[in-house]
Amino acid sequence: MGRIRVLSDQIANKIAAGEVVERPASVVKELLENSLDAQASEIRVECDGGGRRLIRVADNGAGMLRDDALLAFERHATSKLASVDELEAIATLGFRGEALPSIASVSRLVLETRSEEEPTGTRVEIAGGKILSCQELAMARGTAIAVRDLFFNVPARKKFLRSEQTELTHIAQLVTHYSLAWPGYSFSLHHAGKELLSVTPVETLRERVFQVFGQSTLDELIELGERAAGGFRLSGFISRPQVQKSNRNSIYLFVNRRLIRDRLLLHAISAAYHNLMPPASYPFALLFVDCEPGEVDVNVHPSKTEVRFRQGSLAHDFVRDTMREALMASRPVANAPSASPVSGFPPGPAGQMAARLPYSEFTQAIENFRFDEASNVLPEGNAPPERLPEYTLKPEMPPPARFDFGAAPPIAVGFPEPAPEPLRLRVPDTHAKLPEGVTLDPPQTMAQLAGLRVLGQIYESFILAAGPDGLWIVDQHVAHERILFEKFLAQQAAGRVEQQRLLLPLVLQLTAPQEVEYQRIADDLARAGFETEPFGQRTIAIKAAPADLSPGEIERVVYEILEIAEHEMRRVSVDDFRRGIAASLACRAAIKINMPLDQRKMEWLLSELSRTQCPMSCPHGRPVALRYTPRDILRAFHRI
Amino acid sequence: MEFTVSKADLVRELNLSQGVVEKKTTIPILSNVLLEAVEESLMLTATDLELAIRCHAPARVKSSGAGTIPAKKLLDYVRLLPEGDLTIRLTENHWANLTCGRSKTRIAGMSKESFPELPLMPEPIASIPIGVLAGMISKTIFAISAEESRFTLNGALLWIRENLLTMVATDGHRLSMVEMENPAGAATEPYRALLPRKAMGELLKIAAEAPEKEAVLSFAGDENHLFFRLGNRLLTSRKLTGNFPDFERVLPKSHSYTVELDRDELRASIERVAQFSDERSRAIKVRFSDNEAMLHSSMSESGESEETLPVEYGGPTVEIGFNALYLMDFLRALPESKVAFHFKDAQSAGELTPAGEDVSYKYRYVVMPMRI
Repeated sequence: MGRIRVLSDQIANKIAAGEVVERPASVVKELLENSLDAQASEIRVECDGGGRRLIRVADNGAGMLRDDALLAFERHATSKLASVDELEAIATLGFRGEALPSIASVSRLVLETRSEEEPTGTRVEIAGGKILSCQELAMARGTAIAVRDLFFNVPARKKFLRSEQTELTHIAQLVTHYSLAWPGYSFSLHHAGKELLSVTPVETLRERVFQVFGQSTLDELIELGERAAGGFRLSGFISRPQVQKSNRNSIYLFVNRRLIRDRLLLHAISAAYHNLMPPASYPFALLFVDCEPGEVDVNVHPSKTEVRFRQGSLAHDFVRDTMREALMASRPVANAPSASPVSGFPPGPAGQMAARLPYSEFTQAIENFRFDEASNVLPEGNAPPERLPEYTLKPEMPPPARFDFGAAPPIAVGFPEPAPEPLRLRVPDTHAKLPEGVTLDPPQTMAQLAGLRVLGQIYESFILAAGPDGLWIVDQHVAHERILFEKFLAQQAAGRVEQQRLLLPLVLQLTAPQEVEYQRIADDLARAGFETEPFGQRTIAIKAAPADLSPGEIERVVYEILEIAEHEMRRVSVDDFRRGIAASLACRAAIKINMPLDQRKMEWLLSELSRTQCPMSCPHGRPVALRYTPRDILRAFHRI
Repeated sequence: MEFTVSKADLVRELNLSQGVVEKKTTIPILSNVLLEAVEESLMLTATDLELAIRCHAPARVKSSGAGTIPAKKLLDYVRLLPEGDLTIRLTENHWANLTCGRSKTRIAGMSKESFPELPLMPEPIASIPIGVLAGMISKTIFAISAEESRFTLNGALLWIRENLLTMVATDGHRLSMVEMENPAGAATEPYRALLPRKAMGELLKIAAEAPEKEAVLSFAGDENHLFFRLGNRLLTSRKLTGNFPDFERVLPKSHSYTVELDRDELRASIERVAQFSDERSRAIKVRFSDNEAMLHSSMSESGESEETLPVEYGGPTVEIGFNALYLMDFLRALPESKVAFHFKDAQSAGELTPAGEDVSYKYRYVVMPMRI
């Protein structure tokens, strides 16, 4: 007997399931796409236990005939594709005919469906790929698929599932994504009976963005008018450069309304924001790239999150340039109304004013804009988020113009004499003893910080100080950040956070995944000094905040903490998470650069810094201070 | 252009323009003051595009005309001249020749062509005695938010109703509201606008320079600007845009307890005790118990401090945390010598008001508590 056998369908399906069904969210994705392909206008997703116990997707789409309902569970059975030619230009979301049999092979599945043509519906029950029953059923037109006990027969895969919260976040994000891509459809998502998302059909994408993210996000966005070039069309929303996210979770990318995670396009987005944003921070973007189905190959991977463009670099450059144009064009609408200096008073002659528009960091950033070819390396998909605040110093005025005597010809009197040899001065010996207590190579510690004499401040950002162990340059923001970070940690540990109540509660709008996170970390927020409470409709009210935080920063810090939670929940310990909160708070509460400080304040900063446990670097790892030792200084002046 | 003006007059008017001229040299023309000599007077204009001031000084005009001169340089120089008359002549190439006794000086000016034009003041909406307005400003200006990002809070709300003036400022932690009768009367239609902090500061200066406290100022507003005219001085300010928070919702309807304290005693005590509060949060505790108000603060590493003040109070012991600076701000601005402290519990807003029978206006200062 030969050793090679053809695998049974059941085994083949289980293998396919490994590719198609990675986690509960993949099931939701496949079922949602089926519903959308079936022209459903109302889609309801319910899940329980993070999708492990139950996923149910119900729609009012075309439905299936009774015979089709059974056939749908055969491998490579699909209504979406008829010939090989069609595979070249796929216009539906699904086409492989693998999803349903794959899901059915690793779960207990119940399919209920009725199409317009038949008077009664069909109910099919399958467990682990075996059809258990097939009955008639009375129901309205549409399809409902309930998937219970996912991976009940694949213990290996089940072990790799993350926590209920994680899986739920994935599902919530997925449904949010699809609701954005199909504004004309109604979507709802319920988990364990609780509503997480519910949107009614609207006319425009703008209205859907408002439904999902709320007014405040909408205000920060630039709408890309529909633009087309080389067979590609781009539309959607991108954020102003001041909106900075620490991960790519807020980038929503759709190609022909299919949600994808494509490195080429992600890179195009980063390139568009190049120099407008600090490294390792990302914008909010909701982009729809549309093209002829033939221009793009979605049949790269069974999960269909990757695509290949026939003309990749064209697509990349088109997306980058369109976004960059929109960003530049949006410049006049800077956030603060006071930033537009000429709108109130009629200016003088137009040419003059335009040439003398006040310098701003933003215009400078645009001027400096240069797409760095060297950075063309595709960004790492899962790079750890580094939250480095933007550093821009106020421009120093150039030195005033001087008369240049050097270039003038020497005044010749009589015969020009041969130029004399330059005189070599003997270096006189002025080496004297350094004052008492100064050693050339003081130990590499920061113990001396407290005894330093503050000399002054440069660029309104760095403190210059001197002491027996050399000359110090201290970054005022980073120094204060370190002081506050340790203070917050100590206060949190002692449970004695100084908290200031707000005159008016601050109401924040959350996205569905953020709301899930909020419920998970509400206790940590309270411990950090935020008094918050759910306010209904995916909003929370903040009634009190840590005393060191000025009211304008509260909103940003809370969003930042939610982002940390969203990104890191999969890997960090509770302690690390609390340190993350403290770091975020410290960074926002600390004095900024470009802020003049008086002598007393600078001395206070240095003495407080010397008392910290780790005065060398800020919580993000940047150095706090530079030191020039007496030896460095003497050597630079050629004295040793 | 050539005119003669008395040094004292010129210095006084130039002083007023100093706060307005642009200090940063982003747009050079804004560092200059525009001088225009017409008929019997010299008109001086300065602006930073947010705020503009226009004032006049009597002058003997030999030939009319206009030009701009660096404001700071001009004032610094003229201030050093002896008392007496000063003649300024502008030449074709924008140089200003100053002659005063035996001093002769040339200052490089700029063409007036690129100097921004000021909007025209529309029909006045209201008349307000300058003393009343200045009093309201100094009672609220300290509560304005210092955070530039929150521009709707970077000024005070000015609300003009028939015979009634209201000014409110807040930074999200405390709110100061003052309401006064307007003896000058006016306003047929109620009017609300957000007045930027810098304009409020300049109004205080104009008030200090005003010949008499009863002088009445005319107020007007158009779509983007607010206008304050006192005699022949005109201050124009851009309006702040945005919605001021609904302050009436924040004002407590009632309080459970009220104690009366001496303003200066309380202020001195807070100042001493606050020496031992956190450098940033400035948190102190105020405890009211049987006929006693106690102030307390402590820092684990540097020490602690406590003071008691006698009060008439028979309620339960209540301990509330406050930012000492917030309390001090109010006590510094309060003209009355007695202050009433209203409170309920550690979570509710505290309120400070002037106390005494002769308080004829409304002044309410709401401070949110801290948890320490």
